[in-house]
Amino acid sequence: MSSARMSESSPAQAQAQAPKRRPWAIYAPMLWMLIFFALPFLLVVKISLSQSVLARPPYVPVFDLPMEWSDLLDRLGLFSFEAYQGLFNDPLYLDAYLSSVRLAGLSTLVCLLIAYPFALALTRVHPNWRPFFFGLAIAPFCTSFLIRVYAWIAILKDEGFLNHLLLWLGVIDTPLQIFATDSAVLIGIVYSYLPFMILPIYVAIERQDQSLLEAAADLGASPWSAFWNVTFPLSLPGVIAGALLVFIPAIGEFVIPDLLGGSQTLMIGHTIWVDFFDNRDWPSAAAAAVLLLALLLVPIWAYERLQSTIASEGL
Amino acid sequence: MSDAILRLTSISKYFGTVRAVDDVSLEVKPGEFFALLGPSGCGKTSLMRLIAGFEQADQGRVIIDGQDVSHLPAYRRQVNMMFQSYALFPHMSVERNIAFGLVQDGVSKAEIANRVSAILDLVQLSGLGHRKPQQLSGGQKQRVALARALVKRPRLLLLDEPLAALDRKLREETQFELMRIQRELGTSFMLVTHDQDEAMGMAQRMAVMRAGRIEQIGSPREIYDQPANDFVASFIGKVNFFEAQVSALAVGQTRVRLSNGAEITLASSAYALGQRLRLALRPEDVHVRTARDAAETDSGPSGFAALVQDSVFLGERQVLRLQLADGALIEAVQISTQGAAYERGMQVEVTLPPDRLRVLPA
Repeated sequence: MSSARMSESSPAQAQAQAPKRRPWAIYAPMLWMLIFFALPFLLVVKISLSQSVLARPPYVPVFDLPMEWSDLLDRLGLFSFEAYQGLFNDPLYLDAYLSSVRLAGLSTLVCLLIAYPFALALTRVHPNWRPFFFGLAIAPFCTSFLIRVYAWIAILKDEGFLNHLLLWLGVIDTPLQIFATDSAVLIGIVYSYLPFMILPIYVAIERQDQSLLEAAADLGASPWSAFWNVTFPLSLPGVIAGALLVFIPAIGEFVIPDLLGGSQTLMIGHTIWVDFFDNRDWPSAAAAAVLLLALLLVPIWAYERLQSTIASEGL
Repeated sequence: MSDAILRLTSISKYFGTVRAVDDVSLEVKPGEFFALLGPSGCGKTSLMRLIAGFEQADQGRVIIDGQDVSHLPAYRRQVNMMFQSYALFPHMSVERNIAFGLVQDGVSKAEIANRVSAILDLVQLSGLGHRKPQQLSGGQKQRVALARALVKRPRLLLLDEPLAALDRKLREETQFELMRIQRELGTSFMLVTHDQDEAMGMAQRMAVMRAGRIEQIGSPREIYDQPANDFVASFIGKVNFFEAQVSALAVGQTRVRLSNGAEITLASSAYALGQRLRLALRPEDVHVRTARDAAETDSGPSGFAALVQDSVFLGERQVLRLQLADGALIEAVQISTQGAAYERGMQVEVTLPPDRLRVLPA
């Protein structure tokens, strides 16, 4: 009886043990993440829990290993949520968060509207031509990001290229005020992050079985109906991946609002930058950064869940 | 015949300079199980795609149920197809997959529900309607694909290698299943396959294709017994070829000499003296008896000697490879329960029954 039980349990044990034997290669990126993400992030958390002072560094250290144990309790007494309370009391941060979400969301939507037709067209052109169009999408990456954003200043400013062109064409009488507005930030973000939207959507459409479209047509679906019922729903994982790849960096973007935005442009990444380097209020800036990450974890977690659902049950 | 469900008239299709389909004409009658048989690359799949509307013919017309659909796109044609890969929509349940075509046609919800459940019964998948395709076995997927194509009640159902992805046992069951469903619905089926057993087992009539052309159309028995040429003869089942020359003529009879020296009398006088002929004979029609039996009885049409080179026992039958006097190899199939057990190295006497010999153009 006991031997029978043994033989029953051993395969189950073997299965339970199997996933534990991971190859060492998997620890290399984990180590990388630990050193270059987790530790710096813990430092940021630490700073966010301390109090601001006019000193160097501009905060009262907490959690630093004390010289003597008796210091520990004193240090813990300095532990403070003041920076977080400040975030909620100061409407600037809330406005900056909401404005960032709005601008990043709008940019993501515009990226999607441009990228989807582009990606779809890319799957329909002859394979020989695809590298050329990919090149067009990726070419801007060959120059520095800063130079490209500066180039947009030259294009968008009141006496810039775009206004000259529109005036010459007679479309407008007076120059459009685009530069130093949220619109300019939107254009800059869409321009900078568009390839991150195109590529996952392209992959999601490209790997679809072409016979699915033929089956839809065979069953009486017009090309439009086949697109909405087959191509589009099957490309949703790519759309979601692309949206996250645009939305997440866009919400924390600070270079583009700094260069293209105006005085009224509020973005949380830029606010954090100003707090760190201009106001030297490290605890508030750190607290805002921690909160931003916490907010971004929600869509990332939702995406991960969707991915695992797809993996186990299909779409 | 104007009552044909499908009529192809001189269809040709070029891919670049290659003629994938070359001047094909054929008809499929109502309720008929028709097979398009040929080796891979013979154009049978291209032909089927022309019928479904995924490709447009360069020449000729496709007429379905009396209507010329040559220039209609696939979604306007009253044919449905079961894809070799099944092409089930992975993001839809079995029910939604099957309902897809009806939704496209604007059929009412109540009727869709009725027809979907009826077709699920027909293909014996009741209760699996809520599953996703990924949760089905290969055989179940195949039946969903069949149900999805049949639920629209097409006049003609195209089946592209429907059994190719199934294992051998399931293939035989499915073969009978397809025949049952075809009989029950009375829909015309057009089966495309490279497997002659599939075609011959299921089809009432079939077309044998090679290099874009139809070599022969007929019932499986006609094509087997009276192949139009070498290609059809050797593609449908196995066949032995004998080179021969007319050696003597008589009233209603022709005497031919085979390359191994044996002489045979054919009951026909359609040949000229000295004419070269090619004779075809199925392995099961080759009469074999041991040299000892032949010596003892010494009756019947005299045959010629051969040596058993190989003998393969397959249960109900035994396949022999025989070497003739001139070195040529032929194949003979014997029913195991009849005649002796032949072994490698045995001397045998071979007789070719003249009425089973088929004369092909040399």
